Amino acid sequence: MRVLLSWLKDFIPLELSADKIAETLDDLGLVVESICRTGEEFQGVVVAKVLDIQPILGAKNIQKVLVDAGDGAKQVEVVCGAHNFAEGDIVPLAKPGAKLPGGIEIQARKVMGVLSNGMLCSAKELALADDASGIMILGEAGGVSQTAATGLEPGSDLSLALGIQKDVVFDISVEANRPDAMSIVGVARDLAARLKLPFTPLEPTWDSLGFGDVSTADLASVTVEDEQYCQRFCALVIQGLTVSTSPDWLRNRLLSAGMRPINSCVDVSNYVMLELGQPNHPYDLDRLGGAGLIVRRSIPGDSLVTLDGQRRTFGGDARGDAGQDCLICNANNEPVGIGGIMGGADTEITSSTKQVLLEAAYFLPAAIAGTSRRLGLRTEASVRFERGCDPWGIDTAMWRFCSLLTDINGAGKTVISKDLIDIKDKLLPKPVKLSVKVDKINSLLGTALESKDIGELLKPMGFFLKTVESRGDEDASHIEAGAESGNVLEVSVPSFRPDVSIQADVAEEIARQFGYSNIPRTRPARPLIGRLTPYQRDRRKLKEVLVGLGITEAWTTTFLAPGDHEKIGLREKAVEVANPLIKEESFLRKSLLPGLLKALLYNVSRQQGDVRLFEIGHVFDLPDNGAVRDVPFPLPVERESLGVLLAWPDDGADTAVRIWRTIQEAFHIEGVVLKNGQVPTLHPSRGATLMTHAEEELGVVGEIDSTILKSFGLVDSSRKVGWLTLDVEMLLGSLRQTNFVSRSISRFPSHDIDLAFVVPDEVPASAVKSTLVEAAGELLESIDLFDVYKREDNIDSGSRSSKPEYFFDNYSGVQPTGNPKDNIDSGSRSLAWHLRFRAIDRTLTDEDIEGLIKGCIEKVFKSHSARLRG
Amino acid sequence: MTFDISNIEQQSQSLIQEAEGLISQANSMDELKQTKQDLMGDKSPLSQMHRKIGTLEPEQRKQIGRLLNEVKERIDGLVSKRREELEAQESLGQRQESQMDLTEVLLFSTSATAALGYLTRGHMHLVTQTQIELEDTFVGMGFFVAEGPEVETDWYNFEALNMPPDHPARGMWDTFYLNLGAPESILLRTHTSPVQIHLMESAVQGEDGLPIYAVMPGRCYRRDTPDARHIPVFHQIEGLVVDKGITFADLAGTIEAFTTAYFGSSIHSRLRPSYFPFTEPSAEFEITCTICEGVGCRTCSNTGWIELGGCGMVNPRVFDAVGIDSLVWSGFAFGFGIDRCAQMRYQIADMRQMLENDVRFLYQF
Ligand SMILES: [Zn+2]
Repeated sequence: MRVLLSWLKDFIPLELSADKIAETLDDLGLVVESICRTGEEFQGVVVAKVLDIQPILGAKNIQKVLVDAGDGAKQVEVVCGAHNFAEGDIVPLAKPGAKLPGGIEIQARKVMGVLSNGMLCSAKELALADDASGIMILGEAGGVSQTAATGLEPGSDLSLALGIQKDVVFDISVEANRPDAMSIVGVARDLAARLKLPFTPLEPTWDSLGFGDVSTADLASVTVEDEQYCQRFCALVIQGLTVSTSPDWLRNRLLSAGMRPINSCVDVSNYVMLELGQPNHPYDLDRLGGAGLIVRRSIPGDSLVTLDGQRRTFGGDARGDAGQDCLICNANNEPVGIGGIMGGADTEITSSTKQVLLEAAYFLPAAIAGTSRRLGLRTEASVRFERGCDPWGIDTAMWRFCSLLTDINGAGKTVISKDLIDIKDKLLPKPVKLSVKVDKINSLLGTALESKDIGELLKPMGFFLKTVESRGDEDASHIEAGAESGNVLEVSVPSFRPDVSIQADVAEEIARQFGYSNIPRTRPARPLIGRLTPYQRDRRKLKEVLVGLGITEAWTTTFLAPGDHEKIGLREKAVEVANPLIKEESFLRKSLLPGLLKALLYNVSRQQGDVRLFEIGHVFDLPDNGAVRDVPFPLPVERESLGVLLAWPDDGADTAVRIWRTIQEAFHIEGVVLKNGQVPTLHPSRGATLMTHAEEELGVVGEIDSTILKSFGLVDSSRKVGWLTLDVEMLLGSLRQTNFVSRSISRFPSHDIDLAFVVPDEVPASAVKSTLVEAAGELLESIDLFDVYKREDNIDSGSRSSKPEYFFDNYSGVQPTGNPKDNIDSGSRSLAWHLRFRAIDRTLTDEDIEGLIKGCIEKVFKSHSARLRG
Repeated sequence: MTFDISNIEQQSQSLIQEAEGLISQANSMDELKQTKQDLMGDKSPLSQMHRKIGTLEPEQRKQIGRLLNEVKERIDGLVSKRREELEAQESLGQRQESQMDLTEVLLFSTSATAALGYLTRGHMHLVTQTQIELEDTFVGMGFFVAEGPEVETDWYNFEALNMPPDHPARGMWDTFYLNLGAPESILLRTHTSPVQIHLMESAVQGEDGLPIYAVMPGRCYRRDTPDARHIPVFHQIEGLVVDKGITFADLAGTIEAFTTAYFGSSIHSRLRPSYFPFTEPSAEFEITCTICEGVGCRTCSNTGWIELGGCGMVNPRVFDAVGIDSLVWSGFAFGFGIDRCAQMRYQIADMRQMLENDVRFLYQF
């Protein structure tokens, strides 16, 4: 909302500097986005007449121009690069010392040996228009406008010549709850209250206008069928019009306020809207096609070409009210305007308009918001109506329109129809009275105001206050039970403040005028003890563990492109965004992998592909319920997931497993089994699933299949990428050992024993370990796999996909070694274990050890068809 | 040297003196070995003296024998002391021979060799780092940390926050809707405020109870075309206090306490009237420009202040929506961007960098 200082001064005697006014507006919540001083931006820019144009020797693009800049016989010589003007043209000249709106300061300078005493300006350089194609032509040689009356005499100030007044324009951003501040009077009223200045509102004086004998109803009928959306409708007819160009003062104000002047009638309509915040619409009565207006709800098939030349269609769908619009129709029930938003092209005011049907109405804000959104059409009118205009300010606006138009059109000629048509529905909002307790205001704001103070703050904004006895008053039921009875105020809210409807709203108005900065600063009296939940603490620890392992945290977008999930083998449908910004971001991720692969690709394609990344973020799945459309709120399944992508040289499945093991140790996770097997995302023989004892999938670990890497554009076939993903909620929730206690350290010596078993390939090392642990019992302090051996020819002959990968078992990263002479059948391999036995309370005897080893060997033999390696 | 029993003591002394000189002049292990041979070998004066004591009286033999043993031990001691010295010198020389260039290690790319590369740290995302600092500040002020889902119903994101359908304020948030349920019924939350509703609901339903002192960080979504200051996916932190007797002054004081605690004692806050449907009175809060500390610069458009977030007293209608009695309880809420804090703090020119995951960016933090 652009607010002119001169316009504000119509209502309040403002003497403050523009900066001080802006500061006050800011403090009132009417935030000034920018201050623009008009009439000052052209200082030093004058009107000049081109006398002679001469080429400059050796210069192709520039020429020497001699102009008359009003200095008598003295000609001014300038160098100019444009060629769009001729001798005799009137052009703007920025003299040395002039400052242009863009901040350029003009200086005399020599160009190719010619002294240029200033600069001829384009419209763009003067910020008057976007045209930078040539010099702005103010008047053409011999043109009629070249008279002294137009101010285009050489040497005269450009501002004067253009009729631009010295003024200040405040560009204010008005919050959605302040329809009143979408007007000059509204801003003036707030300012006056804050600055304790008198505020002079407009008071209608209908008597001063010239009324005809014919009643409005005889000239045009008005029927409101849709009294729900249109709760008040006023109309009258103005005759005897000669539509012309508006006077300069009006044109200038509209221009400064950012509106294009059109003609006297339309300009007055816009002026009234800007001044009072009441949109209104003049129809050319002769072009209406039926002398009257019908306000009704749209029906399928309705359409209208609006003022902007676009054909709009209306109707509504099965959703009833939600899809319907309020239309203004002529007496033949044909649409001539969209209520509260925009009029039709066919009935617009033209230079030949003789009589005007003026409409000013109150529309239901939600209805206007709905239609505006549906049509994608926001207008000056719709932004005001959807916030809620003053239902009781319409009369003043009608009067203001008539009064201004009469002034322009001529008092003798202008005839206004008798008897204003005014149709009000019972739904029309009535002024509100609120019961406000002074104590409650103070206890909400933390202030110590008395009812007198509150009155002084509220009354200048148009509120009326009355002190009410708290005892016996029916509103006393609002008062907090048991509280000390204090003063209760009955606050009458002005009709232009629909946002004030409860006590808290009144509190805000009080605080706004009191000044937020004057409110003391305290702290809540009894804060609790702050804390993180165990989950939140553990999640931080998880990040610390990963960072400690050299992995960097990434943040990828939640949105994925169509096909991303399919590429990683997730074929079930993902949650789809109804209105994505771009097609590539139209699905919610089910996995962190695609996002991290894209991050990897980003870095690979910048020759910095040696990265290890992790992310903890939400992943989404369609609701479990199959028939989602039948459930009122089928929310997606949303879980927190961890993804770790490992792409350093030599990274791979084994790195991923090691990272899993570190996490497992960090959180004392027990009972999670790593199960070798094919995982959709992973290399066919280098993947495993992490299963809980409850047979739930915690995550997967392994190496990403090269076909998946390729599908994401990672074509370097030598790059191996390790991948670990975990359900963080499961990991840090049900699986996290919270009752972990420390283990005593024995002071007695250990017995270390190595055992190598030959076991069939299909037996995972983890199964052998479990057997050993069970057989060894409490005296086993630790067990490690330290060697895996398979006969060389077996390794060479076995195909990749059929060869089991041993390093997914509990100890990873062990390279097969050993004595090739050992006779190990194909289909088997040797697993060598290091067992350390120790008792907490004594030194183990040889007999102890013998018994333990015997037990271990027998158990492994029996359970896994194993034998000891010879 | 001839052996004369009469001045045996004197001879021993000069023998030791001579040995001291010779041993200290031995500059290598070989020389030392030779010197020792000269002093104590078969042909040495000491050996000669030893051989002669057999001819002496038993009493004298015993006395001189002891004397000669002392000389021998003394020389032995000198030799082994010199040996240690020489050994130490020699080993130092050896170790000095191949000085390791430790600057190489410093300059190696982290992934150049596994042995060196594995010893690098990862980097927590700057948003995580900022979030942790913010959370810790609020935890220190007596808040707990709550979280909620990113996909919400219209009720939690709008309606319960005093924005019924077609409320003009909904235009403040461009919303991503999901193809689930009725059209525009399920959405990606546009702010963390729905978590407020969840918290208050569970408080009323008796799970946690009132009062509430909570901050709620999380990822939010707005359908804005990305530019240097906006990205459609971003992070916010929101605060909610619900207790008896909470005032606007408490809000102003809490914002100020947070501002100085988090940004430093030279950074202050101020409130300016604003509008949010879920708070009344509402305010925007600004902090002293962290770049110029209030003097005025380009970042703060010469005002000395920069806008950080919004806040206000919980609107009684929001309390009504969740079933909290606004005559008994009052509260305040505030919210601002975590990414925006990070952007300000690290002077990040373009927010879009946050989503690119360029390691040149990530490794800076
Ligand atoms: Zn600054």
